[in-house]
Amino acid sequence: MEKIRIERLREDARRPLSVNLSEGIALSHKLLRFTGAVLER
Amino acid sequence: MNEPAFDELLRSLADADVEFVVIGGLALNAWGVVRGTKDVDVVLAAEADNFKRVAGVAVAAGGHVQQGEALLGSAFSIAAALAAGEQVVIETNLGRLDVVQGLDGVPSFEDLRSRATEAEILGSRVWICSREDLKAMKRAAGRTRDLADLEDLDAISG
Repeated sequence: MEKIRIERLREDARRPLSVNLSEGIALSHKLLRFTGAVLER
Repeated sequence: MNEPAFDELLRSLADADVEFVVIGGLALNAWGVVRGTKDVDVVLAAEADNFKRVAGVAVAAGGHVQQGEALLGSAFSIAAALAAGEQVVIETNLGRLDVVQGLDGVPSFEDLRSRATEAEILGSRVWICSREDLKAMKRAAGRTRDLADLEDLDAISG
């Protein structure tokens, strides 16, 4: 499992910074919306 | 904060000619460790005009700074807080901007910028701190989260 995770990390690391940055931002937005929605309940 | 929009926040800073380097979670993302982060961490060029530009972007995005009981919401007061040289967290409608200053283990803007790599976001160019600088900052911070990030960065380098 750990070996697969590291392989995926290395694959991501080979992509352009801009692609990874956009993906990270999209993930953060989703998480912030989710936690915000939970806190509002 | 309304809807988070870290990409728009970065673009606003870049389009306002703010001199900054992205560090922290978003830099980690850019280098390939994609995990969520709650804010945009940056190191600024420590110049009065640069602080004014950041404050202008912050105010345009409905930003404010909480300092004890005080709520700073004008460009003048936010620029003054930045000029004081300490860490300043600006809450904006686009998300939280964490201006990292005066922390042990965080290199100067000039050093970070000299080793940084450009990335594009929403058509604007931003500078991302180098992987080695990011690792050094993670090592210096030393929290559990930072050490886990460091392990992932090491795995990428290995």
